[in-house]
Amino acid sequence: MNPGTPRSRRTAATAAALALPLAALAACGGGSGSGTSAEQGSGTGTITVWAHQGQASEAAALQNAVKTFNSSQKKVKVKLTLIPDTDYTKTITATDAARLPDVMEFDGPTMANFVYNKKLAAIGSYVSAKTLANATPAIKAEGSVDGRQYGLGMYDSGLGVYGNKKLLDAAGITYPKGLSDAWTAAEFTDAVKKLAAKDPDGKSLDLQESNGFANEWGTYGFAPVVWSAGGSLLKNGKAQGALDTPAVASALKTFQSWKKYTDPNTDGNAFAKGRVALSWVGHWMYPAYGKALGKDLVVLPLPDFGNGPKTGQGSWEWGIGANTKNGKAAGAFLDSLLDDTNVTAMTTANGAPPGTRSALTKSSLYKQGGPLQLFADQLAKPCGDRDITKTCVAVTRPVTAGYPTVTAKFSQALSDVYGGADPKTALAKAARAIDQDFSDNDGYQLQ
Amino acid sequence: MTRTPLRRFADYAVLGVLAFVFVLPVLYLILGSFKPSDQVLNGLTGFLPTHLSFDNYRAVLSSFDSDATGYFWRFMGISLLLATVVVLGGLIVNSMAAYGLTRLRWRGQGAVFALVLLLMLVPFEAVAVPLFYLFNDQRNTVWIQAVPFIANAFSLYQFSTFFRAIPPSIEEAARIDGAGPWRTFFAIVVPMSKPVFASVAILTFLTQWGAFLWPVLMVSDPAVRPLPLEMSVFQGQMPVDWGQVLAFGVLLILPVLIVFAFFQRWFVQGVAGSAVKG
Repeated sequence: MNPGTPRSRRTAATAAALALPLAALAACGGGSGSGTSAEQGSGTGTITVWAHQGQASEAAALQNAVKTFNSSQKKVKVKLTLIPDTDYTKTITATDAARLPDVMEFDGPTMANFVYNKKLAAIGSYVSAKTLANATPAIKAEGSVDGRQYGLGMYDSGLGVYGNKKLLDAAGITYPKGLSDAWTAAEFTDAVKKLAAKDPDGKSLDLQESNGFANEWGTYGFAPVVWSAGGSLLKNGKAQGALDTPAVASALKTFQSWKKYTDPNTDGNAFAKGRVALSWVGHWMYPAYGKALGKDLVVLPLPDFGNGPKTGQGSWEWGIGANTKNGKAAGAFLDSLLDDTNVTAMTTANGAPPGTRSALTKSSLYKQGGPLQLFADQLAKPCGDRDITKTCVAVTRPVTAGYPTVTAKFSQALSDVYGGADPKTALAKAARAIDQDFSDNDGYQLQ
Repeated sequence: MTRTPLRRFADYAVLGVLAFVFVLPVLYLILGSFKPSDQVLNGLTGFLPTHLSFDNYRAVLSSFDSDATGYFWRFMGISLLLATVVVLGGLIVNSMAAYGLTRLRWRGQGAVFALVLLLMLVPFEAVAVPLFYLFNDQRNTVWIQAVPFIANAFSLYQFSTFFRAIPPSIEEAARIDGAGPWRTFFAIVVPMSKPVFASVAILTFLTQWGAFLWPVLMVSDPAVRPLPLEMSVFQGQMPVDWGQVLAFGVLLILPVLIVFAFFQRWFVQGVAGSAVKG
C-alpha cells in the first residue's frame, strides 16, 4: 500500500495527470504482456536493480541485503538505485521497457499495467521453486496475472481497527477478540456513537481523514466496505452491477454516517493522544500506537457489512524487467532477497507482515499469540481479486491494467459520499466511468 | 504632506500584522524542522520551541549517503548547476532576443514579437508530454533539464519592456560614434539595464530551483537528480515524519533565502520597475 502525498498538491496532481496520459499512450502498444524479450543469460555479471526509497530503515535493510548478496558470491554484482517513493511509479511509467533495470520493485496494484505494457517478465523461469512455494497465498495472488507469476513481495499489508482498551472499557463496550466475532456494521456504528457520547468533543473515530479519500488510501482503506457488503470494484471486467449495488450503496451510507463522529486528525495524533478510541488504519501504525498506548492497545477486524469482515492486502513487490538479458542472475538475486534473513530484516525495519510463509511463522509480531496475529489470520484467508466469498478475508485490489481508472473513480466516489453526496448516485457515476474506460480499451485484455 | 504619529503607528501596525502573517509559515517550517514528528502538527503549540534538536537534519542527511540513494550535497550541486546554467543562459539569450525584437528594425519584427509573447499563454503542462516524447532519448542527462528552459518568453517580455524605456537618442549617439548593434547592446544597453537583469535572474532562479514536473518525468538516475525531487522520500511512506519533511524543506529553501538576501534591493527595484512599465 502506498497512499502517497504531494510535494505540493498542485504539482503532484499535475504530475499524476500527466502520468496517466503517458501510461495511456504507452498502453497503445500494450496488450501482449507475455511477449517480452527477457533472456536467461549467463547468470554472471552486473545486474541493475531499482527500488523505491521510503522509510530510512527500509532503505537501510535493502542496501544491506544487496551488500550481503554482493559479498556472498562473485558471479553476480547488483547495482542498486533507490528512487523516491512518490516519484517511483511515474519513473517506471515514463521509462521505455528497454531502459528498465533487470530487477525492479513496484507497487502491487500497478503490476498489471506494467505487464500489459510489456515492462515485466514472468518470473517463474527465473526464481527457484522453493522461493515460489514459500510465498504466502495472499502475496502470490497479488503477484499473478492470468495464472502467471510476475511479482513476489518481501512483505504484505493489512487493515484493522485499533482500539483504546481503557476508553472502550470506560464506555462499557465489548469488542471482538478476533475474526470470528467481528463487529457487524451496526455494532461498530453503535460503539462509535456510545464512545462519542462520552467524548468531550463528540469525536470517537479516526479514519485518516486528513489523508483525503480521493486517492489510493480511499481505495485501499475502504474498498473492504464494498467487499464486505457483497460488492466488488470490478467483476468480469465490469463495475456496473458489482460496484453500484443497493447493498454497497447502503454500506457507504453507513460509512457516511460516521463523519460526524470522526476526528479530522490533522496532527496525526488523534488516537495516540487518546482523543479518539478507535482508529481505522493499517499495520504500519502499530509501532506508534503500541508505543503510545502499551497494553491498552487492542487490534480488531474491520466491521462486517454482511459478507464477512474484509481487509485490503498487498504492498511493494519485486519483479524482473521484460528486457533483461540476465534473467538467471536476476532470479538468483530475488531468491536471496526473499530468504528468511532478508525478509525478517526488512519486516523488522518496517513492521509489515512478512510475505513468506517461513518468515511469517517466526515473526514476533505476527506469529500465533503475537500482538498483530489478527493481520496474519486475515492474510491466511486470501480471496484473490475475484472470488470474494463470505469466508475469505484478504482481498487483492483488481489485478488489471485498468486499475488506475478503477481506483481513481472509486476513490472519488468515496470522497464525494463522505462529503455528503448520495451514495447510489456517486457509485453509479463511478461504475459508468470505469466501464466506459474499459470499453474504450477493449477491456485491457492481455493477448 | 507629513503623517501624524497616530497615522504612522496605524501604518506600522497594519504592516507589522501583514509581515507576521507572511513570516508565520516560514517560522513554523523552521521551528518544526527541529521538533520530533508528533510535536509538529500540534495546532498552535507547534509554534512553541520545545523538544528542539538536530535529529531531523541528521536523519535527512543520512537518508542520502550512498551510491544507491545518491548524496544530498550532490543533489544540491546539481540544482545549483542547473539554476546557474538556466539563469546565465537565459540572461544572454533572452536579453539579446528582446533587443533584436524591440530595438532593431526588420521585416516581420512585430509579428515575430507577438508570436513569442503568445507563448506566454501556453502553460508548460500543456507541452510536457510532447516534449517528453521529443527528448525521451536524452533522459537522465543534466543538459536536458536545463536547455529547454533557457529561452523564456516571459523573461524576453521583461527585457523588452525595459529596453523600450531606454531613450532611442542614446543608441543613435552610439551609432553616430560608429558602434554597430552588437557593441551598442553590450557596451551601452546592458550596463544601463542592471535592474531588469537582476529581476529576471532572480525570478528565473526561483522558478528553476523549484522545478519539479520536468525532472520527475525525465530523470531517475541519482547522479543527475535535482534536490526538489528528493522531497518525496519523506512524504511517500506512512506515517509521514513531518519533522524530517520540514527539515528537508529548510535545507531546500536555504539557497533561495541567501540569494534573496543578497539581491533583495535589486529584486524589489526590478519587479516594481517592470510592473510599472508593463
